[in-house]
Amino acid sequence: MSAIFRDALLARRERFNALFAEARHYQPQLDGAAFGCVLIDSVAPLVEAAAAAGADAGEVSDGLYTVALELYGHGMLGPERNDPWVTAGWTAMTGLAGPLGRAPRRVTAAVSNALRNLGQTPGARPAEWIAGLRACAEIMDEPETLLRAGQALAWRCGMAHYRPDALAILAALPAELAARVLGLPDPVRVPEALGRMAVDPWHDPGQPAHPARLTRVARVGGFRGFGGVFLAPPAVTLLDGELHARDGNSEGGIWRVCADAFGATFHRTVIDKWTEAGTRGSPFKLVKGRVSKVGASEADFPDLAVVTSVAANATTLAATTPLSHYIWLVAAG
Amino acid sequence: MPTDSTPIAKVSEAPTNPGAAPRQKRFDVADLYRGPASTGEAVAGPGAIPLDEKLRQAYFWIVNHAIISPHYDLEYNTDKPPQVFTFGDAKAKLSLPSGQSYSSFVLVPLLNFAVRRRCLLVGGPGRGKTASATLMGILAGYSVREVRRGMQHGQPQMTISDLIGNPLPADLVAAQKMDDIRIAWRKWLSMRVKIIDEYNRIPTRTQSALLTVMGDNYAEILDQIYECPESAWFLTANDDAGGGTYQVIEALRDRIDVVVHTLHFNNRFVDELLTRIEENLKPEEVMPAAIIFNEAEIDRMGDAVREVEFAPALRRRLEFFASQFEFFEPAAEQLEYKTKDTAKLSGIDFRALTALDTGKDKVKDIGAATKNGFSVRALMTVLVFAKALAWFRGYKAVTLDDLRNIVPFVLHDKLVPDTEAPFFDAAGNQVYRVDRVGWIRRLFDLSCAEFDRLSLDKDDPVTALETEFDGGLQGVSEAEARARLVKIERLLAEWGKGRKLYGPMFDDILKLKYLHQRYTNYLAWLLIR
Repeated sequence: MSAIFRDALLARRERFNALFAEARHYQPQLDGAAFGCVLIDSVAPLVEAAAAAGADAGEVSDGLYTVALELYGHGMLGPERNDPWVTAGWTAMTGLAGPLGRAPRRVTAAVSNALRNLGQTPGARPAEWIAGLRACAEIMDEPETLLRAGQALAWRCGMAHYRPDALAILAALPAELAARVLGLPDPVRVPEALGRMAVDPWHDPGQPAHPARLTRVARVGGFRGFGGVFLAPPAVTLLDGELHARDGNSEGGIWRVCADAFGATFHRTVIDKWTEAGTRGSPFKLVKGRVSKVGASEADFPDLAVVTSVAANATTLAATTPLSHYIWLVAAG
Repeated sequence: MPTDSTPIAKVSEAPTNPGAAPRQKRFDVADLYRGPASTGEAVAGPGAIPLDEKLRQAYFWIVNHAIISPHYDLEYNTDKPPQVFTFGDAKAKLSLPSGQSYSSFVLVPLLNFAVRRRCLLVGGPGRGKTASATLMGILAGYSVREVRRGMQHGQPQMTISDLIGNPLPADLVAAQKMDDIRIAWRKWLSMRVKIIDEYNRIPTRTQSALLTVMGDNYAEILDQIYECPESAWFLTANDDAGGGTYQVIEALRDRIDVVVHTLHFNNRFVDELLTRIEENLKPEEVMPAAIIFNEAEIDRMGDAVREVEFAPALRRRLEFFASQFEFFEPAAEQLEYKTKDTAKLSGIDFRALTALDTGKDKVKDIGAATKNGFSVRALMTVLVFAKALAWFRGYKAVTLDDLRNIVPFVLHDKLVPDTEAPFFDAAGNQVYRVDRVGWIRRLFDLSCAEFDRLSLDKDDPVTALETEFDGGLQGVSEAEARARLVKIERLLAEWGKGRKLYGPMFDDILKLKYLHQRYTNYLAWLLIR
């Protein structure tokens, strides 16, 4: 433990002891020695990094101690029980020394919660998120702006349901920071990329451009026994313009499905009435495995020769088959 | 129900009073940063939790971590009735409520904080009155040190200067006119939570200065005025019955909106005290930032409370209850003056006058159990606090239970019992000489029972006439106005046929007289038009 952190602990010893005692009063299983390890392994490096970046070590220690104690109490940080993403995040946050020094509690708590949420969302990519946030912190040390960039980044890392909010955030971020979030080398391309993404959920500005053709852009869902969503082959429909999926027959659970170029998320919901959607009102058609879209060439998908349900909106056709727990998503990608 | 097994910095998770879950949730990117770790900052904007939820979180944090008050005396029940058990020869009752219930000692001050009124905490020394008031200051965003420094401790030598401030000595010598004298105002005057500890130890003259600040929200020295911000007041007293060093002036007592008693310490919780000593725990030092309210939020809470609906049917019950107390037949000849206030102003012994009030069942007439009636201020306070309680519980309209639960705390010092009245000699009522909260709640229950017996919910001729009048006089023809006058006269004539006169009828009769006058004047105007 460095002298900086030791002095910071000593200076607020009474408060820190009181906080731990208070927490242990309500959670008797909290172990002082184990929490000591959290302080040494997770808190000290961040305090030292923030102090090196010019922050007040005492203030930073205070904020981080509080968050670390909370996370330790929840079994998310600690030598015995922990959330691997949160633990990794505390190591990685040395790369956020600037913003962390300005708002230690806000930043560490927000990053920890975000990693927890990303880690618990099937298909989301927490490692990519924290790496992206570190990249953003290289050019932005204002905490709130950085955290807003982190929200947009979460969308790019698989939290597809954040898409509308993320697009709005990206439009308001400094262009250089938005370019980092989108993986664009040149900030000048940001407005055009945002414009395309707004109308096409399958556009990824980080990928090289190629002629648009109908393709299977994603296959989402899967059998719950193998870590997927559904117990039985699902069915799809559109409700209020949003894609929804049902587990097997009419007794099954209902999910709202959010999917785009960066990932897919499923959200349990309750609906009044399930109605078949089909492709009416959309530019798509599906006939015996052949998918066509107004303004695009046709393509054959032998797996979709026999389907149990189809739903399509302006950009995406979703289809399910009798023997699969997956939902096929076809778009002009 | 929030659990006790959360660390102290953690507030109870929303929803603290769960209702039906929304079916389709709108995704909010702010959720990304929500989770087990508290950011220590109140979330602002659309993603922020509603203020009533935040106040409930504050309540649960206080009862779970700060004030050891394991009491649930403000009882609520769902559709399921409470389970009732009786104990001992006197059949002491315990009810297990089926709904979320609350501790008055924590909740009433919290409601006072939300609506920025004046709350008196009474009880023996060392029972948590000052601690409770201190927590309210911290809830408003002040540090523990600021709250302690801003707290005014009543003591026999307290002068107006000690309380409010003093002129700068240099200005006193050099000033050519009063305006030149600058005043060093005491810092507590600018605080949004004001705490007066042991207010009944303040000398009478200083109490008058305090009255101006409490009542009119400004302080004055040497013609200089200091306008105070709108604040929640918390006063403490060891003995509410005037046993302090100085008698509290009546005007000051009247300014107090709610009175709450400390509840006893349950000795089954000594282990909590032991832990606090051994581990040097000071809850007030570690209040979570997530439950601290900023000025704008406190303003918004007041607005939100005012928006809570007070339905006409419930208002009628409150009117019926309030009308029981002021009427006092022996006080005057003219009906309007037959009030306890007339009797009080006369200075004549109240007992001598009550002896003249004969012919009524003084046990059933709950108005005969008090020496006074409701003031307008008391009624307004009942309305505000009933709304605040409903809002705190997450309701958009006040319920009868809200009204029943809050009335005793508002009327505690406002309704003066006539402890020699026959009501208190009736079987089972002796205890109400001592138990003011229980007594007022009993009076409310009796009033509601009488309201139901008279079927006033369904058949209230005065309400029918009121509704007719509230439709407006514009376009009412001469014939219609005359017909309405006849209706009023017939009703009065019918009531005059021997029914005994009680408080509610007294108010009804005067209301009919008011309506009669309005129609009479309207008719006169119609005829000369």
